Amino acid sequence: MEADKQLIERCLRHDQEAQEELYGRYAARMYGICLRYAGNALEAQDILQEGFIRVFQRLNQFRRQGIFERWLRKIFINTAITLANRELKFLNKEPLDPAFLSDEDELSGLSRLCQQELLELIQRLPAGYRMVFNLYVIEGYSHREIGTMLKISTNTSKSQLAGAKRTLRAQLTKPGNGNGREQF
Amino acid sequence: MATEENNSDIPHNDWEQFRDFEAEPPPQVWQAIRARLGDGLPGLGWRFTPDHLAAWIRPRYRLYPALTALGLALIALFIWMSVWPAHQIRGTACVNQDALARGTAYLFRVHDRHVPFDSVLFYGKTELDSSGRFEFRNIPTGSYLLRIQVHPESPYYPAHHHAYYRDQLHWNRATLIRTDQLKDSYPVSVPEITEK
Repeated sequence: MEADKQLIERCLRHDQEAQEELYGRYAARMYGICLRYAGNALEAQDILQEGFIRVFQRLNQFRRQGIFERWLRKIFINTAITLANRELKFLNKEPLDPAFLSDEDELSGLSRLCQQELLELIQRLPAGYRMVFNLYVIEGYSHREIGTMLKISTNTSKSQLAGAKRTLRAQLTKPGNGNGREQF
Repeated sequence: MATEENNSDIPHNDWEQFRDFEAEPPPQVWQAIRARLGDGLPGLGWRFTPDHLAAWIRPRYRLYPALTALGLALIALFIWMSVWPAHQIRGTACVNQDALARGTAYLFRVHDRHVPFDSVLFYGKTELDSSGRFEFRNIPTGSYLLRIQVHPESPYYPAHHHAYYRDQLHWNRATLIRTDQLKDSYPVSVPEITEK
């Protein structure tokens, strides 16, 4: 398989085949990210489309010594944030509930779910919860970084995460939803 | 309590696989990207295809603000072209070739000359200066009737009472002033009323 470097060079020369190849190489992985950040498949496809347009438009800004996939992930996460911005405006208005933060329950049940089940649970979260949960738990960003990315305070980020965990926990304990994969 | 360094309540290891979760996107996504990229690629001229339309409809936020802005711009242009005051009507009033110093100029907007009471609207009035001059500024596009009214304290009153441009006593015989055929000056001669 052609290395990313050569593929990028060809894309920069507006080679259509290279663009399609680049898309084919990363679309599934990036679509996975989009699905996590979006509320449904249509939204995810919008993010995917917009994200790849940005990738091709900004390909010349990619530093060749960096890891291409990391750069791609960053673009898609930023695209998801941008597109969800309207829904995320309420974030700043939500007060911090200290009770959420003192909750030490872990979401171990989640790790036993299959990926599709996890995805469905995450997609059911409100936009703000989903965004912070993705950024903190899955991407590994700190609350400070999330605050900068979403233009919210650190406490709001923590509050959103706590809310997300509480909602997920409630979904896991719902009758019929089960607390763990074995009950699905 | 969750802190920035402490993710212990949700172990990252459990989520690593999910971090690399993959799913196959539907083929129309690439078609839409292709259509949007196509315009900027060498060798591809602009052409309208269903893919172009799809690309502009999805995502929705791309098309609707553009259409809204275009619509508003067209509406604004229409309003600007139809009502924006841009004309001037000026002239002089005289009686027997002497300037009429004491009088008022009235301007009426005419939509249909044959139905006067419904279609003639008062637009504005201005006093004549000592040389009998008058001027209306910022007049919207349209047709107008110009009337000069002699003041009662004028020495010409009541023998000379009023006149429509150019020198008619009755509006129906007056000459219409059209903003698309404007002249530099509109002289109005107030005739003597002989019938009374």
